[in-house]
Amino acid sequence: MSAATVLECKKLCLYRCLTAVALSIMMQFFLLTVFLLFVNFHIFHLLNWITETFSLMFSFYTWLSIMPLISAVIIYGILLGKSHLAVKQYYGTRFKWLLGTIVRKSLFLMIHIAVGFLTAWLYARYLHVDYRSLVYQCYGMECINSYYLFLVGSGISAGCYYFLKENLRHEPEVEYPIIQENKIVKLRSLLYSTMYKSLMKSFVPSMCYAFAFWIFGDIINARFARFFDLEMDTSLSSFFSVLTNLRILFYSWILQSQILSNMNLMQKFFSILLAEEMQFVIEKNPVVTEGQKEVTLVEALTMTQVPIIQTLAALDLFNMTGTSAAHRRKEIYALSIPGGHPYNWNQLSSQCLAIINAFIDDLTTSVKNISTMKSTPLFCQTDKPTATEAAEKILLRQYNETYGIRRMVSEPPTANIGSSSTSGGVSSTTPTAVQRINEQFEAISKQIEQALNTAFHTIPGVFYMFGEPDGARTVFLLSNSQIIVWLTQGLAGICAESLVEDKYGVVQVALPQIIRTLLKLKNELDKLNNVNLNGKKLDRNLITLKNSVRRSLYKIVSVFGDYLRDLFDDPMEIRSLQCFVSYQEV
Amino acid sequence: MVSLQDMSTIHSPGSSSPRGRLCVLPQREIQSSTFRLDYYPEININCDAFNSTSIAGSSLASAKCSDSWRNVLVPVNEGILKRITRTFFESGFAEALNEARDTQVSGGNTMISSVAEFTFRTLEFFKRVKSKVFPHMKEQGIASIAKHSETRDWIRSYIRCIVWHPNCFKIAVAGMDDIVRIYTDEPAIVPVLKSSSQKWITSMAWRPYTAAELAVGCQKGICLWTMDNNMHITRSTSQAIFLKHPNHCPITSVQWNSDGTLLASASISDTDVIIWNVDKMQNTALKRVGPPCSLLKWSPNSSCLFSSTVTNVFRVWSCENKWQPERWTITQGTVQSACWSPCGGFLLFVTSEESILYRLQFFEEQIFQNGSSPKQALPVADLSKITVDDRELGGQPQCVAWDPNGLYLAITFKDTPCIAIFSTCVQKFNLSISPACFLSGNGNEYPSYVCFQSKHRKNNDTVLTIGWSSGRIQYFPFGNM
Repeated sequence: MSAATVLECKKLCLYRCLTAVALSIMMQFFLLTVFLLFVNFHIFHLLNWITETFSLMFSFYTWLSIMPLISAVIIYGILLGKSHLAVKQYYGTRFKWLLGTIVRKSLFLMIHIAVGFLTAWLYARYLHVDYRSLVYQCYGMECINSYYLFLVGSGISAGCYYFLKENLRHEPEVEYPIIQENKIVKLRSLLYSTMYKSLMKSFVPSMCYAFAFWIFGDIINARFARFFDLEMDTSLSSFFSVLTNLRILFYSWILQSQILSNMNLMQKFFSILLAEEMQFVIEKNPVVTEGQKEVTLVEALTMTQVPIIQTLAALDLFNMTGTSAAHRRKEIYALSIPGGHPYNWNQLSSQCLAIINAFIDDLTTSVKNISTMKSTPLFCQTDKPTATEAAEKILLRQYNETYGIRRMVSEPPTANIGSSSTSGGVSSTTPTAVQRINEQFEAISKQIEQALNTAFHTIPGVFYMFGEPDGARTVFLLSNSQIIVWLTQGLAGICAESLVEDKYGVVQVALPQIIRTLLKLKNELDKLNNVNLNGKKLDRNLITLKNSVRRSLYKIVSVFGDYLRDLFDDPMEIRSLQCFVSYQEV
Repeated sequence: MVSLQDMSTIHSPGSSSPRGRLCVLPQREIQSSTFRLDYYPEININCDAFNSTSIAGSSLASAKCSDSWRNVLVPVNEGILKRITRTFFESGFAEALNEARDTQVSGGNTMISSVAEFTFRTLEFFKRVKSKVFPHMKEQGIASIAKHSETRDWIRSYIRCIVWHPNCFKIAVAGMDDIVRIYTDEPAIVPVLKSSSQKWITSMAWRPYTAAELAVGCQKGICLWTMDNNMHITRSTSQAIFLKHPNHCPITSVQWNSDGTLLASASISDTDVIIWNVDKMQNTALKRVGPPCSLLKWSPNSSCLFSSTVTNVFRVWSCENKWQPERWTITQGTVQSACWSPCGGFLLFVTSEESILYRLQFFEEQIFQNGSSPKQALPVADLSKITVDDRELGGQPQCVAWDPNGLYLAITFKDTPCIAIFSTCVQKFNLSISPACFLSGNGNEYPSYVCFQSKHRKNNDTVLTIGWSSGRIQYFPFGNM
């Protein structure tokens, strides 16, 4: 994979990220307008209310003072874009997670606080004159304005609240919608639902903040007063003064809801724009004009550095099963023009199989580490004799016994026990001094190891911090399995359509391989049936993956059901697929 | 707005296209009972294990009768407060309030009954105000479900819905007793699906490319059953997943897309069509302002989704083109029933007011579309009532069904007992339709529900499945016609 292709893919993402940032900036103006409409409302001067709001919006002063907020939004956008495009990391223990993410998380926290602070700072300027500045004249002296402090603190707390709730434990990631609606429709419904929901969501936090301000407000007030060498303001120091000042509570509620919707909108913009489906070309145009590079589907599928592109390529493959993509499927089944090789299909199928196989391998190793699986191996290693073999043996033994032929070989289990006991006896009779010391050391080290192990599990907090929970890796793998879900179904769709559309039969070469891989994946996933993954009995990702693999198998097999004997030699494989043919699979 | 872009209206039938060119009803009767198919299960819901209490209790009577155990137990004397508390914990707030309002129950204690009466009146008042303010949020009763159902006389019909598995030989039959019975080619085993929350079954859908996953649309939501092969007995609710969405009940239509990835559901009390990703337990609403939706039909290749509303509006969503809807209006009534051609290019539908079969065409628009002629639904068949050998045929259509090979079309009617069969021929850009025959039941039976057996690997025949009003299910093969 060339560096130019990677660059091209990154460019595609960058374009989308820039659009998201631009939208976020536009949102700042929109939200400010909404806020102004809220706070300047006059029931008797409706016309005045609207004209005043809009003249404020388009004034030079507003555009100048919104700049700090916009620069914070741009920085936030850059951080969001970076974390959306990053390859997902697996952190086995909480300690590793802490080490790995602390820089990023603290940056995130800082930018959340900055956005919260700057929003409050900006919005406070349009409020009643009592709330506008940090300093005001009281009794001929300069006092610190506790209303202003209250509002700014409210903004900062909203930023922190959003960080704690949404971004502390989870990384911002793309949510792929279940249906691909028009971008405008999605953005519109997002806007409506966010504005409405954030009003609900911010109510309790704003009340909690008011409560906290009543407790700690005085201290903060005093600190600020001393810092700026001003007088203290006691207008918000008693509980009732906070509670009865409905206007400031209302302002703080609206402000918090604006900040929460702002943050939520920015994240969702990234999610919506990045998750929008993308059509990759199947085959590169032979006459490439300079400066116009195309990324093929296979190239996009290999793009492990840019996981979003890889997932979008899988989505593109998944969408290729529909009727409108018939011409694209035709390109896949086509033979290359000089040479006549099924180049497109071979590359595509091998790349898909490589991704799926890599996933199966990762899954197998992670499943092996789950302790419940270790103790009870699902499949016995020793081959069971078939009924006919057993019957033959019994017949032979009966024959021997009737003719008095002595059995020369003892039964295998008893032989094992006998040999181990004799060898143990031999070693115990001849112990040398060195061996004895060695053994003692070994015993001691084993004891220490055991003690440490129990301490690791019993001292509270240690396992929490440094231990890897059971099946955490499997859960991580499954949470990244969306690409596999789409690849399996996309491959199955292309295979199923090939019976009618594939003129040269190019798909049939890889078909047994594909079916085998899907069967292998299904068997691997079936092992996880009754395993408690990370404390959850039902992992939605697991169910999604399992069902999609099963449906893909059904889809292929219901089309190729009559030709299974031509595709496979192994009767066991045919038998396991026959269950799918008759829809009898358990 | 996207939804209002295409304001195409359908011209009234008589005006531009003369009735003489329409296809007429068939005149030839076929004795349907002479055909018998070997391995098809014999189904007669009426004489099945059907106990009278469950019929009475399930849909028609109030919740009080449905708890048959309560009728069995002998009443004991208990204090009024205790009784109300018990009712509250057993049946919920509404029942407890009714219990308290009942002066006979409360005995001499008028205070309790008057307080309860007052509370009840207040609640009723608020409900009325709410339904005035939000008319679309009105609670939908059983009568309005029956009105928009494709099943004839849905309330009293023994058979409420029949669906064939799209990939194998399995039939699910929903009865009036709110039980779904599954029939396969092994007649000995009939698994039943029964759940206390599965009431008023209006529609069902088998998930394609799965062994046995059935979505059942009912009063409170969608019941999603996953059966394994060794399941023969009644299952409790715990095995069924219940899909619910606020204000999205009662469900009137559920449909899987052809891949089995998405489930669409419509409710006559909700304006949105909900699209579910069942594996992930996620859903998205297809939001449009307007009347609530009633009927959904996914085109066989899943490229379009038809959704009709309870008024004269219906939409066709283009699933592969960003889910943009085309909005259509009919002159009067609502869309009673609709079906797609196997290629997904044509949609046939009937309305609740006219005896006309309409046709819509859905492909190659860019070639045929020109500015002068707006897209129109063409009337293709006249279904007005006729009498053939003292058998009545035609009238208000109830349900249309198109066979998966695209060769036959069956139409049932609201007040006549025969099924009209048309033979159809779907060409690339054209659809021709001609009368074939009509079928009638034994005695005064009328068809409650009709559908065609799905086409799959093992089955290439065209078999019409008829659920008669007597509870008998009949298979009519077209192979020897």
